[in-house]
Amino acid sequence: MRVCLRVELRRAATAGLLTALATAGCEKSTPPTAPAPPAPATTPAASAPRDLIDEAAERGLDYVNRSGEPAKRTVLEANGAGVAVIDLQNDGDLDLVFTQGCASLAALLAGPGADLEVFLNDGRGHFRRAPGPGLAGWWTGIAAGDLDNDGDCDLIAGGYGALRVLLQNDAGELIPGADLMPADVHARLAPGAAREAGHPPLWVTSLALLDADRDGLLDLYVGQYLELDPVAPPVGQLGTGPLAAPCEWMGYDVFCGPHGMTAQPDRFLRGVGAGAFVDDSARALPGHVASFTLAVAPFDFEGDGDSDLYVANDSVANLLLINDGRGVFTDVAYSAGVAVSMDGRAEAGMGVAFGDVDRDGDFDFALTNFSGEPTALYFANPRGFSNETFRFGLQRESRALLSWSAHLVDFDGDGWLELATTNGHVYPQADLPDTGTSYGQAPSVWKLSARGAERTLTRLEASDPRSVLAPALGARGAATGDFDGDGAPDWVVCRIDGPAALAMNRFARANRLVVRCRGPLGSESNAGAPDGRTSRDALGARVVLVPAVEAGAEEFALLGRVDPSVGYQSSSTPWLHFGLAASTRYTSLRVLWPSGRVEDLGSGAAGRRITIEEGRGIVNEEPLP
Amino acid sequence: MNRPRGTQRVSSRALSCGALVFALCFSAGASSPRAQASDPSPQAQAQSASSRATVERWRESLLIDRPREVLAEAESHPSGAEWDGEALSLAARAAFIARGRPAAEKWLARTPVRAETTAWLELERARLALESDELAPALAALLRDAGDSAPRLAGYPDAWLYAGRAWTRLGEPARGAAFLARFVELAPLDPQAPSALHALAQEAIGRGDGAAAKRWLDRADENAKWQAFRRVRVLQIRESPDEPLPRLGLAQLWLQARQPAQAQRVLEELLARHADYATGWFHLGEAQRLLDDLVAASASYDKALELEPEHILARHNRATIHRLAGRLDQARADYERVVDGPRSSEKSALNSHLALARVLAAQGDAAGAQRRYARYLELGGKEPLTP
Repeated sequence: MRVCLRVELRRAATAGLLTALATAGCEKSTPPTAPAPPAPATTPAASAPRDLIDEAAERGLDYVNRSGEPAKRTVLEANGAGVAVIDLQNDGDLDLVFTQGCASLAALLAGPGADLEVFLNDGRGHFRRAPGPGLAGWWTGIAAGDLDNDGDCDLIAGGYGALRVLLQNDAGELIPGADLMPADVHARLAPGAAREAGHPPLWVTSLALLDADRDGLLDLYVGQYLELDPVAPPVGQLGTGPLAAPCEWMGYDVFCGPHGMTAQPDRFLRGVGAGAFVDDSARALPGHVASFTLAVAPFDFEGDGDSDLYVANDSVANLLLINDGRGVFTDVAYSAGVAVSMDGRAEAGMGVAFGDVDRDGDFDFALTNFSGEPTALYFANPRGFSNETFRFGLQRESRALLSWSAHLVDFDGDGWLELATTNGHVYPQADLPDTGTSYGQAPSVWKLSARGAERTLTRLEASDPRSVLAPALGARGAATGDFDGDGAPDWVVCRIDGPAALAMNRFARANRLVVRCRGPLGSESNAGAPDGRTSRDALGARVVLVPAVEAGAEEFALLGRVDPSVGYQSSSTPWLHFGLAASTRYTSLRVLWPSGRVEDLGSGAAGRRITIEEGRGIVNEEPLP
Repeated sequence: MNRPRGTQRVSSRALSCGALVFALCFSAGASSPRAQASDPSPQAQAQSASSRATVERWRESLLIDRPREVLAEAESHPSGAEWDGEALSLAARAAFIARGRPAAEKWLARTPVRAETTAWLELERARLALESDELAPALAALLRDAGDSAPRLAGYPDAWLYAGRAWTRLGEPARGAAFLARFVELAPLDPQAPSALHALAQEAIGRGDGAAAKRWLDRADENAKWQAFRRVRVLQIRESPDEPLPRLGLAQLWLQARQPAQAQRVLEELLARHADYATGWFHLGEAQRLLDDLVAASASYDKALELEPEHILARHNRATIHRLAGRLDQARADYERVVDGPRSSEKSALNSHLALARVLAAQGDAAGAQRRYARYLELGGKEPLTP
């Protein structure tokens, strides 16, 4: 069934281009035996421009993360912050909102806590600080979306003991709205309020906005981590007496967790309109087991048009939650081959990103992990996923890294996705002798390509001292978006305990098409759509683009999906960035809306930024500079 | 501990399971981690006792992610002295974890190495290739031919593991499964066993065999829990070497896994530090009983009862050893002490009532036997008087 759904997608998506692939049958063929991957290539430094240059300082982005004390005595202090890419003031450019922590756990308890930090874009990628929404807490994950379908983008911010809706008003300000913490008073952590030991708050990590039941209203998956008592956190050992277990790593004393601590279950909040949500966890997540969630990303596993979820868990099996179309999720991670590593190990899932890496019409994904565990790359196949990590040589590349946010994005516009990860160890002790890793780690970008059985991975090396890939500074959340309006995706990176990086895309100019999908406004309807209604943000909309190629050249199709909730504790641009390689035109542009409607928009020229509205076609376009 | 070893062999199943080894008795079926061969492997036989001890110590250090301990000790290896290949391979593994592949390669190049142990170095080189995504070279090092169904070094469990992993990582899980299945047969309690079992489950899922996948998965989960407990116990022992409970817990894990020799070793270490620990003596008796060393077991129960006369499990088991050896008066005395004692109504004393009744019947005291058997039934017993 699933195979055929994927075939349907391919047929619909590529309008015959990949017919041979689509009609090859519903059975998986025997995988070819691949040769060992070659030693990783690295791009020569002399071939600039080919880099991501950190221009945060000159562009006014002066966010500096605080994440507890340098010694990192608790796990809360190790997990860092996230960032949301959001259009504030509806001026068409991409602004930034960062989450923020405190100087220490004691400082959080004493108050006043941290607010979100807001930076407005002038449209050319220069930022100025704006007042925050006035929250107080230790903020972690963040998600952006039009929660009230009024045409502007809103936010949900999660934290250690907090989960808050922020609705954007007509002035472009974020106004605190619904408090989404459960009624239990201990679930919340209010900075400055008296608190007794023995009552850990709910700890929100990553958030995912999606329209699970396709009613046009965004729903929220809330990833939650573990029980950490802020008043009396475990230090040095877990438990007491002779059976206490020391908290150590590689023979060094480190903070405790997650092993030996108690996981908190995730929650599913159903959107009911106007930025309000109701807890629908019992119905939506039957049989859910608490699993130390760090990251969650929506995508479409079966190609049936609804939103499924992949949940990356720390040190226990990951989840692949399949949506029955009504917003009820079933975990099929084991049967799909993505619960544990290829070697059968439950690894420390940190971040996740989706994209069609092998350009075969379905969504593959990357999963970041702890040091000693490779970042994994999974390709969708008719029965689930195949683990391509080792065939790419990605284990060799990534095993010393502890990676967090992941993005599959075409930075250089050549039609193949790059894998970008933020990295950095959780333990400062990683810099002590003989750990095989280090505390500060620079972000990584690898070019990927997959043609038949051939797998190629090329590590991108810093070509400039200002490259975001140069300094070995640890980072956590990250997001992509075109901040300077040149059509090329940039990358904002939240370093831990340090300044954010604004990695501007300085690859050579490329042929690109930048696409924004929009569903109907709240007051409008999309009557006649077969499967429901598309949200104003069009989250879950899929776009298939077929670049025009010269006769005899390799044909390919590009697949994108509007899912900003990706990476780790962060929210990326809702714009889709397609790199068309040598093609200056495309022969087909098709949108598969969450409502079930399919729109063919024919051929067109690259080098544009276009907005497509369901049922109305291209409603706005402008040339890329 | 230097304890006398008896040669008497009777079925240990004739003895009651103490409360702490109930899990062992109930999980002796196919789903439990299988016992490793009790006879030393040919590879182990080729090692000296000191090399064996070094290898065990270094394996334990790697189990708890302390490669530095291995390296520190390995670096003190006398210059020019012959290496044991297995120990050297572990030093290389520690170096790979702590310092990367070039450092590991340097260790593997060290000489001299005892000739009969060099296979370990070949295996470690294959492992390094595997960890560096050199899948085809890893397989080439492990197999004579790509079509082989067994590795060249078939007597080494790791050879099966690495070949299985290499095939699986190459996208050929069915070929990998044959190797991994053999690995878990050869080394069911290896720290890598849960990983292999999970991979087997995934392979079964891939070919649509849900029942097999469930079986592998159940074994993987059980094994993984056992490994996690073992790791914690080892850490606790390292952290608090003078605390008896972590060692007792580790010994119980070995007993649950039907590894009485390992349990015996741990308990002897425990009792060397805490000779007055009755529970430790009782469990040592259990381990010896499972090793069919009933003379030693009886002596350990004696010691437990000297320290804690009301230890009814020790007393029951000692009585049963007497009974099986035909020393009915001694057996009767111990059983009577249990069933007439202050804890006679406890569930753990139930079998003593029945055993006493049977001893009395065997001694011709029919009335006494019936009286004791009636009490046994009154307490909830279901077994017949005559077995």
